[in-house]
Amino acid sequence: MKLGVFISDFKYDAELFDRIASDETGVFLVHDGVYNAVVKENGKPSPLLEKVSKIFVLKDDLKLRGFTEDAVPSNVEVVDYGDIVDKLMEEYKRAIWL
Amino acid sequence: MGTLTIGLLTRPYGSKNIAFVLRLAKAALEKGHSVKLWLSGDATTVAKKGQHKYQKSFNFEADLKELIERGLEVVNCESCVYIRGINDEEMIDGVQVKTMTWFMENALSSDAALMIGEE
Repeated sequence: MKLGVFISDFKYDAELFDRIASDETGVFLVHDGVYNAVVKENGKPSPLLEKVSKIFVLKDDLKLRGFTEDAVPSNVEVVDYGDIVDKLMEEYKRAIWL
Repeated sequence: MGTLTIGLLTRPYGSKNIAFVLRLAKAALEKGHSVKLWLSGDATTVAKKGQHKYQKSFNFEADLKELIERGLEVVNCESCVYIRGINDEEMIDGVQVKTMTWFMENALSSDAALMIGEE
């Protein structure tokens, strides 16, 4: 079963994440978690972006924080609430929140 | 269409999580899904009547009422809400009170389930 992991903060529990992440994991970046998609530290993108292949970022929370979609790297998919519902109902049927 | 169960433990007003949950629930209802919201811990206080509406702040009571009318099923954890001194008459109309068993049954049987803990 595919697991959805919602990351709601820029700083997250990387060790816990490493223990639960797999090829079947989908990461949803919401609230301050969206900073992982658009902010670089020492010129490098967030290490989170290399840990799993499926990463989604919530458009509403990006916009709220002054970011546009072109700031989002190509390996991250920009989604809205309706898209998140579809992905939960069709793919990531069990989801947790970090 | 399917059923989405969301469990929430986070306190209202001190956290943004309930705002996310209500928007997600609204999007799911608009797509024709059934949505069940389980409130436990401090999240149970979001179902209390009489929340004051300030000009530029959230008012989760109004949001909850609107979504209950649209079909959102809201259930408070019995022990969590009563221990916080909120009795049945003080809860928003339509909010039910059940034990943890209800949540486990629904989280396991729903098409999808999301659990949001404390911050």
